[in-house]
Amino acid sequence: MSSAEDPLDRLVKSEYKAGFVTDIEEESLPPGLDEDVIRFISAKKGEPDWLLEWRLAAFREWQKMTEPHWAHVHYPPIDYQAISYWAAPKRPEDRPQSLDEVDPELLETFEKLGIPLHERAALAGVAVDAVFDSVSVATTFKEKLAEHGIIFCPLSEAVREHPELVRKYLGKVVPPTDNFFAALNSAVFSEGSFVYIPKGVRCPMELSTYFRINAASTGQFERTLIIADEDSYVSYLEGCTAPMRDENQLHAAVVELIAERGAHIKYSTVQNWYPGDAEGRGGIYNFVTKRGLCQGEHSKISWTQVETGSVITWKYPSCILRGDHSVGEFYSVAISNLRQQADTGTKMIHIGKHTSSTIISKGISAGHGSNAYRGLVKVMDGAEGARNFTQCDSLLMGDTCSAHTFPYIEVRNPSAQVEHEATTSKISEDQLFYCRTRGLDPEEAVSLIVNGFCKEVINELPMEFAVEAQKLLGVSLEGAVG
Amino acid sequence: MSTPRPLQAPTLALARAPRQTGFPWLDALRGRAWETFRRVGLPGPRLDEWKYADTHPLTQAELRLPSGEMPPAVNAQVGIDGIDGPRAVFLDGVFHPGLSRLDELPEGVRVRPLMEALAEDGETLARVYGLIADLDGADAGLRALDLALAEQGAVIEVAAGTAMEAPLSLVHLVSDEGLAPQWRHLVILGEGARLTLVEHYQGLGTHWHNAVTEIDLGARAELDHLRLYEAGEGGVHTHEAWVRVAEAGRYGSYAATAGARLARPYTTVSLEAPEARAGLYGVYGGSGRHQADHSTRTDHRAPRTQSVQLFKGVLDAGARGAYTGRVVVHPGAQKIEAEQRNANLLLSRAAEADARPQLEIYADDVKCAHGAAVGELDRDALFYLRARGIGEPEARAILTRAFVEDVLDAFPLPAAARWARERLAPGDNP
Repeated sequence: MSSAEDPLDRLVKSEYKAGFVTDIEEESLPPGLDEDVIRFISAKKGEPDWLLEWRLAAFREWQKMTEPHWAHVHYPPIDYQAISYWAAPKRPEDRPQSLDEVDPELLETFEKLGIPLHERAALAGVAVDAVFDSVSVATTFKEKLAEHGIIFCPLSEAVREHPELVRKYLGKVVPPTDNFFAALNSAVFSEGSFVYIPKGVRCPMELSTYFRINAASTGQFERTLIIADEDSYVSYLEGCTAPMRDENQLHAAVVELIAERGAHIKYSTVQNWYPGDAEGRGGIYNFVTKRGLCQGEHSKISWTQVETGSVITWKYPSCILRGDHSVGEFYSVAISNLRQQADTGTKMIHIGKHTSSTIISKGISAGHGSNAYRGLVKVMDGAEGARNFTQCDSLLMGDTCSAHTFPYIEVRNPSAQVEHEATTSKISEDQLFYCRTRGLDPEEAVSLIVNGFCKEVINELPMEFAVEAQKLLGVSLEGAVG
Repeated sequence: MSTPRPLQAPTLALARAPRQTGFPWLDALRGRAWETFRRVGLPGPRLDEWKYADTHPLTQAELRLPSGEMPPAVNAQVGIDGIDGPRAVFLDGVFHPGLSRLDELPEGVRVRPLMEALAEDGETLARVYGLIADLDGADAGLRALDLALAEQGAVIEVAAGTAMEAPLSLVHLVSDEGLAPQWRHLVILGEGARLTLVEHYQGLGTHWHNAVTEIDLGARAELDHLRLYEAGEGGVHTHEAWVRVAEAGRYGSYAATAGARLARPYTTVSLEAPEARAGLYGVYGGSGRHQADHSTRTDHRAPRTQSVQLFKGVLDAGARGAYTGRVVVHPGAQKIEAEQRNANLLLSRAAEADARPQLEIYADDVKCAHGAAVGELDRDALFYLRARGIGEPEARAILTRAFVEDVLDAFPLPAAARWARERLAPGDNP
């Protein structure tokens, strides 16, 4: 970065970097949702009857539900009949079987996103399942993982090849009727990733999924299911981008994690959906249900998220701590710039004895952004010796943005120790002045301070992601402070 | 139906559409409030604001509005030991001149029964009465019902520059089973005026006090508002205080709830001009089926305003205590400071504590912090005391008392602090 450039100029240039459209032949359904659409999706996927019934049951429930509006976000009503629920690159029969066969244009897409699959595969040893619109494009490193008995494949493939596992766990943590968006997802989910780590296996590499919404007027409804059997370990990364479009697009995903006794799941997200433009036109509605179940004793689920994109985010990755001594963690950085609105946080439900949870949430508001932390810590009466520590800090940049904190704490066991701390502040003139006197330009100074503010969370990310996240933080906030 | 159904709260309200008062402005206001109540109804757990308050007792109990007739004097103690000074006493829903002491008011201080004041000064009071506590929002049911039906209460006016030293008390006592009086008080302090106001709500058996106090503080005016609620398992106390604070004014609320099936002091303060301040303090406790729900909302609408909140709960078997505090910093309200603290002590397994310290911020140059904690008595401290020969019950009492002491320290009247201490942390009092 040269400081000679006009910061405004740079802001213009730094507009959403993943906002290109890939010119690939798409096959999509016309907009609209009814039981026939669900049957179509199910048939396209060659699903068994039980899954079609499961979808239809969810759809019937969804029709009875009303869209929730308790979140601190505002948006015009969504017309669910104006969304296309199926979009896929054409020719599903001869979809690439290995990376070499992947459409070069698609690979280029990922290149532009800065996730060269080859490089990742070779250098970082990351296995990638890339979901492009509704279809899983390529899953790398599958064989290597299979040697360990690890299953990592698109959900539709898992339905075909491991129906007993999918049937046992699908909807167990997030039931189809859990909430409005989860019900919609259960009815129309088109793709997603499935991970199974067998007993005692430590997954030798980081598993990763990239989601991208490419086609216009489509929604993306992926569903991820991760099962870590006893004493296993897996680290899973998820990244998302979408092209720039003037209309809003809906992303309603469901992620379910299940950790059996002694298992540890680490789930990291860098969410960079298109945030809309400075006037609030376009952008992704990111209404996501993520929940993990610490089923067994001494299990652990850890969520780390860096939320820089989407025009509206509505997301509460949660942990149900059922097993005794199980551990839940939530580390989050959420940025709202432009006209972005985020209402995000977590739920920690302490059921088992001596369960513990940590919540570290950092919200940054700039421009006309609105950022809310909403979290629930609930200690049930049997959760002897439960422990929670929550810290949520907000950083405000400019006088047109807003920051909110809505914690809910419910404790029914006297031996529980629950602490919640929150602060709200702005970048102080003193901090800026100090950095300036040491020769940093204003943007470098802001970037340094913001990175310091978020450090506790960034440190939790796997290394490649941490680098990407730090860059994203910088890009997202460019021009926020003059 | 052969047997008449018990008169339940909704029926109670429906049974009695507001009586015509003969004052067109007041009848119009009461009519609008009645419509609001009919529309939004009684609050319930479906409302986020009422998430932690069980309103079941209101719909289950047999309740009726007071008849309006003067009851005979009762045998119960009226008021609180050690709090002297002028007082207005309301017995079984009716102002009781015999038990009240209003003839020793200093110059510049006026205290009148509600309807009397509205009749005499309708034109002036119509500009404030019923307008500070707005009827917006889905949670407006109780204050709407109150505005529609209330004919008892006090209008308190302190002239500009007048400082009243002795505390002024409003004592509400229900001794008749099943009464559900609706109270409405209006407190107006002129520029630089000062007042200490004590509101005491008491009741025996099944009863429901539903009260709204509207408070308008002029520039540099200061009000210390003590609110003490006392009832057994049959009592429901819902009380909303709506406060407007002008430039450099100060409002202090000190609420203590002990017992009651449900005690819900709600406070909403609007800091409307620069340098306005608010300090909100509360203690709550109980056991058995007692439930306390202390809720606040503080609006920082002007630069350089400040608010401090400190709430503590001590909850024993079966009790439930909740604190909800929302601080809203409006656009342009720069250089403000807001702090919220809530801590809860759970003394046994079947107790529950809920906390929601919330911030909503639309300005950037602010210093806001909140914290909440829930835990049990410090085992090390307990051990320390036991090791020095102090029996367990006493050791627990000492630590419990120490826990609430910093809140009680803020109470401006030692007698009120003592009253709360005796009820929340029994034991030898200093």
